[in-house]
Amino acid sequence: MKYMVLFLLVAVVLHGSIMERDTLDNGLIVISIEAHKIPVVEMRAVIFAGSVFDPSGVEGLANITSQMLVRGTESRVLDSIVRSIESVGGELSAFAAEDYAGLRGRALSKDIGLLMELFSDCLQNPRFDSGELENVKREVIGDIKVDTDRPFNLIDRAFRKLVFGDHPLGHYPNGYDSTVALITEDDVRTFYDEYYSPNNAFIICVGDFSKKELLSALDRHLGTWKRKEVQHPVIPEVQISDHPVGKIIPMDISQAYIILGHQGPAVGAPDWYETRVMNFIYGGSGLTSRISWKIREEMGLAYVAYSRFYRFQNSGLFAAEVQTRKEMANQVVQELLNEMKRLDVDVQQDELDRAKQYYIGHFPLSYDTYREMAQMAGYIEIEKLGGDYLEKFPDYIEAVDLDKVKTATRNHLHPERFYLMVVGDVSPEDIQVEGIEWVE
Amino acid sequence: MIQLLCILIAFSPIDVAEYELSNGLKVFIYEDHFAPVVSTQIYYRVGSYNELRGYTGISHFLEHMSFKSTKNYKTKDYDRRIEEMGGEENGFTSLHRTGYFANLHKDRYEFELEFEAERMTNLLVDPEEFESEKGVVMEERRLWHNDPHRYFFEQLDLVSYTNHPYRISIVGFMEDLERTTRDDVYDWYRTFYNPANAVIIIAGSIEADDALRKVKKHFAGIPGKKVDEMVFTETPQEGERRFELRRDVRTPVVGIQYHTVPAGSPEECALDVIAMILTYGVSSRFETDLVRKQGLATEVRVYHNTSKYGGTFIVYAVPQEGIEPVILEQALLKEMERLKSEPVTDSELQKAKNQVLAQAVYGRDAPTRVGYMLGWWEIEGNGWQNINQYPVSVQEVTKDDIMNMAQKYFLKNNRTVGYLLPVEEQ
Repeated sequence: MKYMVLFLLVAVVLHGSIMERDTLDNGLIVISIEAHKIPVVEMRAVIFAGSVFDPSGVEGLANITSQMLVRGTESRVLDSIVRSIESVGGELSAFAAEDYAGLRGRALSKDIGLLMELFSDCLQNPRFDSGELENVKREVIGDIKVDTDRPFNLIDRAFRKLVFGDHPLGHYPNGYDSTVALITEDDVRTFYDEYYSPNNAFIICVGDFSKKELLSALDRHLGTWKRKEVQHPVIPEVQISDHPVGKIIPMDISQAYIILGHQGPAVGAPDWYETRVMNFIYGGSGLTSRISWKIREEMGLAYVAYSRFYRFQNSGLFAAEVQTRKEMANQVVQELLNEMKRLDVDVQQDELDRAKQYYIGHFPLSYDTYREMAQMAGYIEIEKLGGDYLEKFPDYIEAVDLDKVKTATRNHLHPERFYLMVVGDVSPEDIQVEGIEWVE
Repeated sequence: MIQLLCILIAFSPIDVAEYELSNGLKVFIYEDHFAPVVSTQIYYRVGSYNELRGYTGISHFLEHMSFKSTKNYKTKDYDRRIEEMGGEENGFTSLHRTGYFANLHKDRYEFELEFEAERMTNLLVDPEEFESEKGVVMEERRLWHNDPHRYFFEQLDLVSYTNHPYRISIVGFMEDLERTTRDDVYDWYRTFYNPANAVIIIAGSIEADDALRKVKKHFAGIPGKKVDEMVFTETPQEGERRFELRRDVRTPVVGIQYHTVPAGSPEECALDVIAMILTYGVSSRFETDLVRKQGLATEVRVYHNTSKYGGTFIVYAVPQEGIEPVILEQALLKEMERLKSEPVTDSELQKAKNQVLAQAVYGRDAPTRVGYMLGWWEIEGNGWQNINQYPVSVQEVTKDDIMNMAQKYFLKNNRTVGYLLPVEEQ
């Protein structure tokens, strides 16, 4: 066999299916989970070439590059790629996030050969046809414009920009309509040449196949992908404000859309589990969290009040989000801040216990389908969690105590220096926050 | 043909155990032992279809109140118990269904049955909680209104239907929500929430006999009372209807909606196949011709939405910058006309059939999804057996069927055309 098992971590078992991690000679990591419940195969190719690598002025390049993978290869035009997979009921598409990009596909297991062949061709031999590039750009620009017409999507994009400014995390992976318009064939080819390499990528396969045959076929198809030196760009440090900063985008609607938050911990933060538990109590647990209880249940001011930590390799983002009628915007902002301050001094044991029980009990439910198994495998690989992650997760959560939650609150919730984004028919005078700097 | 045979082998009918208790409660049990997870779902045969003017949104309002205090559980006791057990739960309302579900470890799913029996019999609709929740429901109504695209779809139904309950959105009208009282909601609850008007589905790692025993333990003692349903028929459309929605948007939208057929009717499959040929996948007609080749649109989507008493075939398109909506509309209509006179190709037809079958196989990945679809087919789609019959019936669709459906339904007099446009300077 040409492939070699470089290392095999502890065999991880997901509901009776074994997850294994192998490495081909060219450095391509293959994560496989053999399962035979339904005759289906899920595949992912993940390349560490996300939107944080977008050069300034061409934001959206990582996304356009990944989209172009399926738009034609040296031997196949777009129609040939999509017709072949779609005619058997399969699916193949590209994606891009902040830290990575790639391909995802799904097919009946009888078509695994075709799916693999297309993955292989698209990853190694993209054509970057100029006509197709213009098509992709048009479609992405159209999506961005539609996004900015919808307050839900508009505020997400604007909040990201407010918090991170010109830092590469300041833009959504699909960029801005103005910068996408400037992307050239050369930009795409250069980006691809710099980052698309087997030693900067991994493959996930989940489903109905024989692992031995899978590895052999992957080696045949993707073992030919030539490795090269890949240098990731240095990502600058994020700038952190020392005072509250606010921005309003006027929109003639009956509600104020509000996001309040700031930078958060990055992937790999040592206190991630206590931060997660802390957020569950503050705003992460759906209807029982503190902000949902206060703003939705007690006051009847919003349909949804929730918070979340988004983590990237270089930084993170904490965002508490509420939509309320515009007259109540100030009150909602005050409640979000009050609950942040209260969490610093008052966390109850029963809240902590419930959060821990939830995370431990819910864990097996988070990977009970092929698709979720593929997501979990990707998560473990990207975050370098190790082969014993599934086994150890309950211990990580069990180790969280009240002191750790309080420390996480002090480290990762900042009611004294936050960013406030509002979309709606609201003016700065309507929102009373001491020391806030309103920006245009 | 060999390819089709292979897919048909991959698709095998799902095995569902069906029961009916003496109080009229229907029970469907689907075993899937891949993961130690059970999805317990209960569906009441009530939704926005049942609402008369003045009471629109009341089924959805009741769904909200169903997460409030009962006789034996204070508000949030249930949510907290589910969290403590590591489960996930939610509820939703549609045209004909109000559903509640919880996904739990197989050792703990009986709690959901126990609580659903409590919810069915002992909901308080507490007056104080009702007033607070009214604010929440009204905020949800505002959310739907403030999203221009979502509201555009609401407008399509409002204009397309005249005297049929399908014209009203599930969240209802704001003024109806304002005047809804606690007693209105409680009466609605007492009318519709009983075993004879409900379906329970248990999907996942369970033994059917044991699951049925548990259902009987919690529900057999609750009296059932059948609820009669009024049947409304939309007056046939006698001319094209058009509307504009003006909003603070940069990008217009074109929507075209035709009346079609109810779910589970023989003509449904051919219309579904047309929808797939037009926009399912990157190789579909609209994606290939209108988006990429002609560059008229950045996005085109087609839905064939069917339910118990009717269906609509919807074309939704976003014009490329610089393309007037009317130009895109003409191009879309030309494609709809083409279906009447020019047979689809063999490969287009076969691809759509394969896609339907493959989707049916993919759907087996999650027992939650199987349960949801069983509930949909049973209540809105003319019987749960259609979950197995539908992918097979699609295989029988011919090119002539497609032309016949296009000639019968894609008529000017049967369509509503709407534009979402930027606000005009007054």
